[in-house]
Amino acid sequence: MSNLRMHAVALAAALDEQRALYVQMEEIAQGQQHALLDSDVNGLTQLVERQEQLIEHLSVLETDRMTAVAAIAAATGRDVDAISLSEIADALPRREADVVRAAGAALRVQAQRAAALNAENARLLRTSRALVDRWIGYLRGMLTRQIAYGADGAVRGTADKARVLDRSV
Amino acid sequence: MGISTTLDSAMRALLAQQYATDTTSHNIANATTPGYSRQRVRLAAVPGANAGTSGSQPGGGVQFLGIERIRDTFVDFQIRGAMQSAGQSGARARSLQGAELTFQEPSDAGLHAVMDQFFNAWRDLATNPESSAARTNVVQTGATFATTAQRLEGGLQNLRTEADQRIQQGVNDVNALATSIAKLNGQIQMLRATGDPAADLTDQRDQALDSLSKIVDITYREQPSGSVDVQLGGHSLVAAGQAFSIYTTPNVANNNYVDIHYTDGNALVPIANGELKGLLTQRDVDLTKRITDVNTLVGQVITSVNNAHSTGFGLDGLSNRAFFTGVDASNIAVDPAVSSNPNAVAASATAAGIPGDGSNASVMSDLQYQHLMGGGTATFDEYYAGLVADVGAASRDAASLDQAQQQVQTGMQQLRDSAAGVNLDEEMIQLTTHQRAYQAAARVITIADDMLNTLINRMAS
Repeated sequence: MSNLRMHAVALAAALDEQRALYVQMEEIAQGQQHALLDSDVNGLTQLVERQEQLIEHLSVLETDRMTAVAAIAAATGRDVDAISLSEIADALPRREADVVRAAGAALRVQAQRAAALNAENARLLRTSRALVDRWIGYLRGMLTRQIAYGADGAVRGTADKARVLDRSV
Repeated sequence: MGISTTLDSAMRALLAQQYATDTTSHNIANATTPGYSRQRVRLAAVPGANAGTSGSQPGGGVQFLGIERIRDTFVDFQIRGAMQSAGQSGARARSLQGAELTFQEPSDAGLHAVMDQFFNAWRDLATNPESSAARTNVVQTGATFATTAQRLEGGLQNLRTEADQRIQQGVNDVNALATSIAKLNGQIQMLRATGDPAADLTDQRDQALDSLSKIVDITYREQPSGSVDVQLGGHSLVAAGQAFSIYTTPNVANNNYVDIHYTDGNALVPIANGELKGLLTQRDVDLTKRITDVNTLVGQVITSVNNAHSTGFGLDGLSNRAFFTGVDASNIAVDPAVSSNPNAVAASATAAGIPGDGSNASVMSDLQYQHLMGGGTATFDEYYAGLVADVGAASRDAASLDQAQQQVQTGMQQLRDSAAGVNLDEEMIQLTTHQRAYQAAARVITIADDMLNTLINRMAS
């Protein structure tokens, strides 16, 4: 097998492996969403740990992929930083080109799905975190008896040790 | 994933979290509200289009499913049973405590002391039968004994009347609570039909059921529609949105104290537990027995004293006169013929012994030590001491039982509150844990996001 074919096979293998991991990433993101909705903090923490491990594995695979891309770029006289997947495929024999294009397309679709779920979870987290922060500040004030409700429902400070939630203050 | 779907899922997330925040604020604001059950938001992910197929799309965010009340219905059932028993024991304990106070023993104002003074006065007269002071003392101590006996009997009767009035109030309370539960049933059914769990109204209905359980021994069952049917003694008290009342009628055979009837059919309501049972038992059993015992004692004193007095002779030489009028503690009094004329007090055993003979006065004083009560087994003092001790023991037992029942009820309520109650510190700990977990998750998601964006850009065709 020529070197070009060998690098093409390595590239396709890396793309396939990355796609499989991004399927797991998508599953983890779905689990994270369920955990966020259920306020399952322990579940969320475990899934985040699994996601971290996955990211490490993906980093290794990304190195493998870029190694194969660099080899192909060098073999075809292209700039490794600017070369795209379709340009790589164009430079390969037809059979290897089809395999690389298919693997690349499948990886892109899977990565987009994972990215969409990730973005959704990020939004949920931002909203939840903002509300949680607000409530923590509010509770801190109440538990240290620094605020109380007035008869008009407004929150105000207390000079004395008024009972929390004492609406007669 | 299109822009509109993205915005929709963001909006759903915000709405869902807003519900969660509203519920948290509701929980915190009601942390000290009696009967409030902690509420929890139920959220679920919205599945994406074509979910479960190979062409499925990412999910559409979150949706709000509803608010659930955290409440253990089994513990509720146990608590209401405990409330019924506590209601009965509490009513009995309070009534017996009142009875104990009415006896005023031991004290100079109690029947024991004045009875002692009465017989001592006869002893003094026996040694000084012509003394007008000694004769006057016999009359006065006799009058004091009569007044004290009437006061004691009257006091116990007043406790019966008080119990009767509380029974009538209890019946009014039962009817008011049944009406309230029926009304809440209707409101809850309507709201639940729209998907609203009516958590706050259900809390109010549970409180009404708690209050009702304290008064009478109800049974209840929640229907699939969300309404609660309540029964008392096998008859319907509440059926969905309708309440059936109970009413009272005076019973001539029982001092015109009330009987309780169902409106439907007019049968008597059989009450087996709760405050009403405690009050009925006090009114018709416990207090009745004490009054009977006091009347038995005083009736025997009247009979014995009158029998001995009628055989003796006064300073005026006349005999065959009673000392007391009346038949028992309700109507005892010194005979006006004696109270207006101390010389009529029969101190002498014979007409010939006047003046100077005080032997009949001795006979009178000796009545104190004769076994004339309990079928010839007890003196007046022993019988009365037993009566007082019995009331004291019953009162202590009732107080102990009441205390034990209250402790059971408190324990069960604490168990209920541990599930349903709101603890601000717990809410704080939960929120802080959430905060840390969200921080960690956000950091990793950002790293994944960067990685994905880089990859997708590199995969651009």
